[in-house]
Amino acid sequence: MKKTLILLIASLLLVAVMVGGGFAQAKDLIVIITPSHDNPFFKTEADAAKAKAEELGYETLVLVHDDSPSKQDELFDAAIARGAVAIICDNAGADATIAPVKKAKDAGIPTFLIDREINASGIAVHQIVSNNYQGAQLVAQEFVRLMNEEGKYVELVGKESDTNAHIRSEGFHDVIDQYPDMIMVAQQSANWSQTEAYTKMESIIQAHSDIKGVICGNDTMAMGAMAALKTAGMGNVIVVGFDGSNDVRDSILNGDIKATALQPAYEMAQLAVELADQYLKTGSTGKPEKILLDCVLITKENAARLNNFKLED
Amino acid sequence: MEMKLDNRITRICLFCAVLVLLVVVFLNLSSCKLWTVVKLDGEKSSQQEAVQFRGQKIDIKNYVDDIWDSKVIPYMEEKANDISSVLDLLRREGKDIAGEKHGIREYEMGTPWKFIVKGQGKIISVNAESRNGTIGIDLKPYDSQVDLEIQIGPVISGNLIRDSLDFVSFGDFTNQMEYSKFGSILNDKVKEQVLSGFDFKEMIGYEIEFLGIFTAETADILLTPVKIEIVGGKE
Repeated sequence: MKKTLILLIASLLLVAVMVGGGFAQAKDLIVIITPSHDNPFFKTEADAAKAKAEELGYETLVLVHDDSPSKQDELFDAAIARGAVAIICDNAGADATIAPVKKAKDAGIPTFLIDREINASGIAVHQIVSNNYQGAQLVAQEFVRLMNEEGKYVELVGKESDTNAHIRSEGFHDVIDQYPDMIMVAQQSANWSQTEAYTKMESIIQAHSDIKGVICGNDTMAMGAMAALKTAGMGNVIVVGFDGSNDVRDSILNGDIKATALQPAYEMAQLAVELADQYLKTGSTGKPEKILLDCVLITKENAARLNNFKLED
Repeated sequence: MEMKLDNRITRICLFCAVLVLLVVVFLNLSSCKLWTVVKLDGEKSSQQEAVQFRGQKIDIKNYVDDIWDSKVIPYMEEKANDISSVLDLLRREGKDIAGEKHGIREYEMGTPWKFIVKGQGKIISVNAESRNGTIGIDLKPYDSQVDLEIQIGPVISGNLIRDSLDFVSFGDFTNQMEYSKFGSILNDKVKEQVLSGFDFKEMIGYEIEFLGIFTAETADILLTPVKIEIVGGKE
């Protein structure tokens, strides 16, 4: 009896010391890893995650892997060494990311992936991605509507090695191919690049001066295509993009590009941190591992409310 | 006794060895790794609807055929609210308050509110020029104003049926494309089961009863129907 009492007091003391120590310690650290912030999309992700984490009382460390799997690997090691409580990551490769996420998991650090999936489940706590297929369908519907459901058009596809390039293209055609009077006269990859889209568009115009529309797998290619068309005096051709960048927002407000699909980068990153917080506090989020967020159609109607991949209310 | 036991162990070991051998041989013959079950490329024409669903390869069209009458329609009937009260609440309080009360969505962020509704109204316009055709519905009390539109195909846009089901989710599928296939087949089912019996161009003035889903993201209400019935002819 006496022994139990002593034990009880001892453990109470221990808990008190631990809790006290906890308070004295620095805040828990959340590490945020994304591709280079040169692309405003990734900067938005990092900023949104950082803001939410700090709001919830965490310390943050923001790192970039520049799409290099080996660098990403080092950053995960650094996060483990620093004793992070969670990692938020927009990853550098669907296969290459499996190993570091697993390493973190083995070290007791949960990873929350945003924007892109990896080819494994059960390793990250959540994979939060934007619904590229649904976004592509939205843009394609608007494109078809603007084209009055008929006419010749061109498709500029993203980088062939990128899954999202295929998903978006399939989403476009899922809708457009239901309209028999929509005729695709050229389909080329411009590798997500603005300059490449410009030169590709220049040469396509030579062969097809009668095109009515251009549908692009991302916003930078849409910017390139639009510039080439304007130079050729074909500024009235209907151009649509995908991403929801500020550049395309301004172009839409200017009356040039007509539509794009907003990928909810901001919401995705904030949701990841909220789920991480919930997971750390309760051990579960009660939600499925893979979470799909809808894209939003941006047109002249709502473009003014768009800023840094977030649609203000 | 000991001899007998040894014998049994040997026999069990032998049996296991043969079993392992058989499995290995089978795997090699079928030249597939343990975890690749579906190979969609190359067999597209014959098995376009084959998808990986909850860890099994299934024909998603058969699945939709199976659940349409037994699960989808009863689910919609059960969840449906009266269209007029939902529209009224939307107008008065906005989509978030209306959503909390009558809507459904998968997560708090990044997915729009969806409203499953039923009601009665009169067809007062038909847009069949667009392939994404619609009919304009006037709700009671009739004032010859279009209160909502219903998609009549042949192109059905969006994936509202898929996205409002609570018993199938993205996590049941391998990727976005296969998930989307499920949505398309549900939309095909609408054309086949709900819309094919009607010649809407001849139906202006008819009163119908409808059940369907819409999202309040756009100013105009566009319903994807899962049930349409004629309840009254032209007056």
